[in-house]
Amino acid sequence: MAIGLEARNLTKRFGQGAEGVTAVNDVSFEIQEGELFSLLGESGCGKTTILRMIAGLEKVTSGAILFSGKDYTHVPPNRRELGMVFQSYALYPHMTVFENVAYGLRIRGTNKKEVTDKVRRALDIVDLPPDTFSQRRPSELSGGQQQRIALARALVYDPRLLLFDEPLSNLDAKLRVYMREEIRKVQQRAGITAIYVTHDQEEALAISDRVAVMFEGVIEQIGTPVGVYDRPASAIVADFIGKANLFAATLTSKHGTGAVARTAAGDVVHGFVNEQSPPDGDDVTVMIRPERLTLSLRDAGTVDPANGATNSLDATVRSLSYLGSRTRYGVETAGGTGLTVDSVRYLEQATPGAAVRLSFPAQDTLFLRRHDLRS
Amino acid sequence: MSTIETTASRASTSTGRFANIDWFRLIVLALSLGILLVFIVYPLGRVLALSLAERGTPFAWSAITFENFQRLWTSRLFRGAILNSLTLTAWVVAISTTIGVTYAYFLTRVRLPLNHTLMMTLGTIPLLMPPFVGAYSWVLLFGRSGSITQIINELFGVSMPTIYGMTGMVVAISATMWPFVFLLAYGALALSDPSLEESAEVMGASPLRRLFTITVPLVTPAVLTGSLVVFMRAIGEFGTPAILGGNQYVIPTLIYFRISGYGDFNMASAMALVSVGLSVLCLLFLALYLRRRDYMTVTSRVQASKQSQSRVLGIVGAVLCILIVFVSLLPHMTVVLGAFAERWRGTLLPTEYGFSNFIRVFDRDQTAIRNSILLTLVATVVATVVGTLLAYISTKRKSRGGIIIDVTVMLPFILPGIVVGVAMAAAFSAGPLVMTGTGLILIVAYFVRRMPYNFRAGTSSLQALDRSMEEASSVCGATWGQTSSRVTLPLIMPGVIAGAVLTFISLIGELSATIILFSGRWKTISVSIYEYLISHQTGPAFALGTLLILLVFTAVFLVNRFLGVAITTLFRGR
Repeated sequence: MAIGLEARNLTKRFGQGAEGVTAVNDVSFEIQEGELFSLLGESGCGKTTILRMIAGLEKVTSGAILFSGKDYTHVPPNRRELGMVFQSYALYPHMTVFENVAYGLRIRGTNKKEVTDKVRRALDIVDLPPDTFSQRRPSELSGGQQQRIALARALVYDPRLLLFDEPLSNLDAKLRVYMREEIRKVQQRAGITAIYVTHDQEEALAISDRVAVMFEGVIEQIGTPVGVYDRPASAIVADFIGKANLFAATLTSKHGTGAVARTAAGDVVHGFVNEQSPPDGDDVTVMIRPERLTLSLRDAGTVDPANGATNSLDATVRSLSYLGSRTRYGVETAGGTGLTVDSVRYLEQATPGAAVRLSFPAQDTLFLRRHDLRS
Repeated sequence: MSTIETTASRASTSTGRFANIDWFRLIVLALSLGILLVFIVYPLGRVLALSLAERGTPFAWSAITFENFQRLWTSRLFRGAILNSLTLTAWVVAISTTIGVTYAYFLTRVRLPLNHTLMMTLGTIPLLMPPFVGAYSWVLLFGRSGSITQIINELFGVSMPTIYGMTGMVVAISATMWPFVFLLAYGALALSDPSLEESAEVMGASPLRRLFTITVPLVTPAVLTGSLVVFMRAIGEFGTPAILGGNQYVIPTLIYFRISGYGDFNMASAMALVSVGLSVLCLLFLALYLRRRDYMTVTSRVQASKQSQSRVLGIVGAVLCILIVFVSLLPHMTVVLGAFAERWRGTLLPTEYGFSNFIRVFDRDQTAIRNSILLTLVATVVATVVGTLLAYISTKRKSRGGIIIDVTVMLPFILPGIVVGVAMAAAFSAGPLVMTGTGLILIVAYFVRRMPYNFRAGTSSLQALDRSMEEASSVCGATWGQTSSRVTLPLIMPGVIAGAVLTFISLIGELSATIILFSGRWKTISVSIYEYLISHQTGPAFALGTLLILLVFTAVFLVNRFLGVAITTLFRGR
C-alpha cells in the first residue's frame, strides 16, 4: 500500500523565546492509504495541533507534511484537498442541509446536476434520506444528525484525507458508541484515509487501524489497538490506555525475551520484556492488566489449571466494588504490593480481609523500562 | 516556495495565498491610520493650537498663550458654565442612576402584575428621541402658562418653580437618559447566579444584608458603566440646555454661543478641551474602579435570578414603574399631540386638531428632511463598512498596528458631539482640506462620532462566531475571499445591521455637532426643530419631532421584523 500521509519531524511552538510552549515536539509518522489512524492523548498533549497542522490551519514551526510523497507543508488549507469534521461540527446555520453539504462542491465550481447527485449520494452514505433532510436547517436537527451532515460535507468532494477533531465529544454516551461505528463503516466504504483525534481510549481502540498515543507533545507509541493495549511501550502508555497494575521490581534472570523479576518485598513474577523498548539495566516496572489476574480463595485451594498461569501470589482482599459485569477487587500481596483485580466472577467469600491467591499468565506480564509513577 | 506551484493540484485562478492576508491587512491599517490622523488627531491638534492662541488670531509658535485657559477660571461667565455643567451632570447622573436601578430592580427581582416585554420596551423608548426634541414639552407642561402648572395653580393655589434653568435641564435630560443605566443594570440583575444570594440566605443573612453585601456589589460595575454613559452624554448635551437653560450656560451652549456670536474659536477650543478633560477623568475613574473588580466574570453559571412573590411589593413596584415610564414619555406624547394641535393654550389637551403643522413643515423644511435622511444614510453606511472592516482586522489578526485601530475607535468615545463639531470646523475651514459649508463635513463628523459603535457591533458579532466555521470553509477548499463572503459576512450580518440601525437612529436627530457645522444649504431636521423651538413655534417643531419619532420607529420595526432584534437588545452596551 502506498503512503497517504507522512509527517516528518513536525514541531510546533506557540509564543516566542522562554515564554513559548512546545505543543508538538519532533513528531514523525506515516499513514497508509485507506488507513484509519488515531491520535490519542489527554487534552493539551498536542494531538489537535498536529491535526490542525495537517489541515494547514496552524503554521508548522519546523518539519514537513507530505501527501502521497509531495511536500504540502506550506500550502494553504484550501489547496490541500482535505475533508474535516470539527468538534463543534461547524455547520453553517444560514444554509440548509443541502447547501451545507454542497458547499465544498460549489467552491470547486462543480456543475449543478453533479452537485445534486453527489450531495444526495453523500447524504445516503451517512444514512440521512436526502428527501427528508435536504431542505432543513442544521438547527432543526439532533446532535447525531448534525454529526452526519458534518461527515457528509467533508466526504462529498472526495478529499484525499479525512480529518476528525474529537467528532463525538458533544454526543451522549450511547450515541457516541453508535456513531463511532458509523464513522468507521463510512470510512471503510469510501476507502478513504482518515486521521482521528480523540481523548477517549476506548473509542480509539474500537475504530482504528493504528493508534498513536501522545503525551506532552511527543508520540509515546504507535501501534495497532491490540499492540498498544497488550504490549505498551512504556508505563505511561499502559497507565493511559485501560487500567494497569504497575509496580517496581528488579530482574533476576533472563532467557530470551522471557525474564523473572523480584519486588523489594520478595514477590517473584515471571514475564516478558517488551522488545520495542527494552529496559536499560535490571530495574523495571511490571505491568499486568487487572482482568488478566485470576482471584481464588486460598482455603479452597482451587487454582484453575486450565488457564496456564505461571505466576501465583498470595494476597489479602482490602476492598471491593461490585460493578455489575465485573467485580473490582483491591488486594495486597504478601510483599505489600497493592494490585487491582477485575473478576467476571463475584466471589461471595472474598470480602475484605479474606486470604486469596492471585494467578496470572507470564505472557500477560510485561517488564517495562523503569518509570517513576505518581502513585 | 516553489512547492506551492507544483503541488497545488486543483489550483483555482484566484491568487489564493497572495490575496490572503497581508495586503488586505495593510490596506485596512493604512485606512485606519488615515482616519485617525486626518479626522481625529489633526482636528484635535487644531483645537489645541487654537486654544493656545490669542483671541481672533491663528496659532503661532511664537505667540503661545494660556490666556484662554486662565479666563476659563477668572471670568465669571466661563467659570459659571463649567460649574453649571458639573452640577447639571452630577444631578443627571444621580437621578438617572437612581431611576434606572429602581426600574431594573423591580423588573428583574419582583413579580410585577405587568407585561414584562411591554415594560422593557417602554423603558427603552426614551432613548429613541434626541433629548432636546422633548425638552420644550416640559415648558408646555410646567412652564409659566403650562397646562399642568395652570391646573395645579387652580386646584391648590400653588405656583410651580420656573422650568427654565437648572431644574428644567436636570428633569428633561434625566428623563431621557436613565434607560442607559436601566439596560445595563437589568442585564446584571437578571442574570446573576441566584445561588450566590441563596447561599447567603442559608448562612443566615437578612434580606437587607443580602442586598447590600451580595447583590449591590455584584451589579455595581454594570451600573457604573451605565452611569458613565449618562455622564458622557449629559456633559456633551447641547440642545436641552440651549432650550431650557434660560440665562444659565453650560459648556456646550457657551461653546456654541462663543462661536456663533463672536466667531471666537479660541475660547471655544479651550472649553472644548476642558470638556474632553472631564470625560477622560471620568473614564479613567471607571477603568480604575473596574480593574479591581473583575469578579463579574467569576460567575460561570448564569441563569435567571429569583423574583420576590410579594403582592405588596408587586403593586408598589408596578405603580412606581408606570409613574417612571409615564413621566419619561410625557415629552414624547406632548410632541406627538402638539404636532396635531391647531390650538393648545393653557389647557390639558389641545382644543383643536389638524394637519396644518405637517403641511407647513413639508412645505418649508423639505430640504432639511431630505438632508437629514441623506446625510444620515451615507454616514451610517460608511461608518458601518469601515467599522466592520476594522473590527474584522482587529479580531482576526492580533498584530503590530492593532494599537492604531484601538486608538481610532477609542478616542471618539470621549469626544462630546459639540467638541467634534468644533474640531471639524477648526480643521476643515482653512488649510489643505476645506469642507465647511458642505454636507461632507457633517458626514465626516457623524462618521467620527458613530463609527466606534459600529466597530463594537462588528467586534462582538465576530467574537461570537465559532472560529471553526471559517476553518471548515477553508478546509473545504474556499479561498479567503469565498470564506468571507459566503460564511463570515452572512453570519455577522444581523449584528452588523443592528449596529447600523442604531447608528442611524442616533444620527437622524443629531444636533450637538450639527449645530456648529450646518450651513444654509445643509440644514438638518434637528437644526430646524431647534430654530423653531427657540422662536417658540412649537407646532412645526413638534411636527418635525413626530417625523423623527416615526423614522426611528420604522427603523426599529424593520430590524425587529426582519432580524428579530428586539429594541431592548439594540441599545445594550451603548
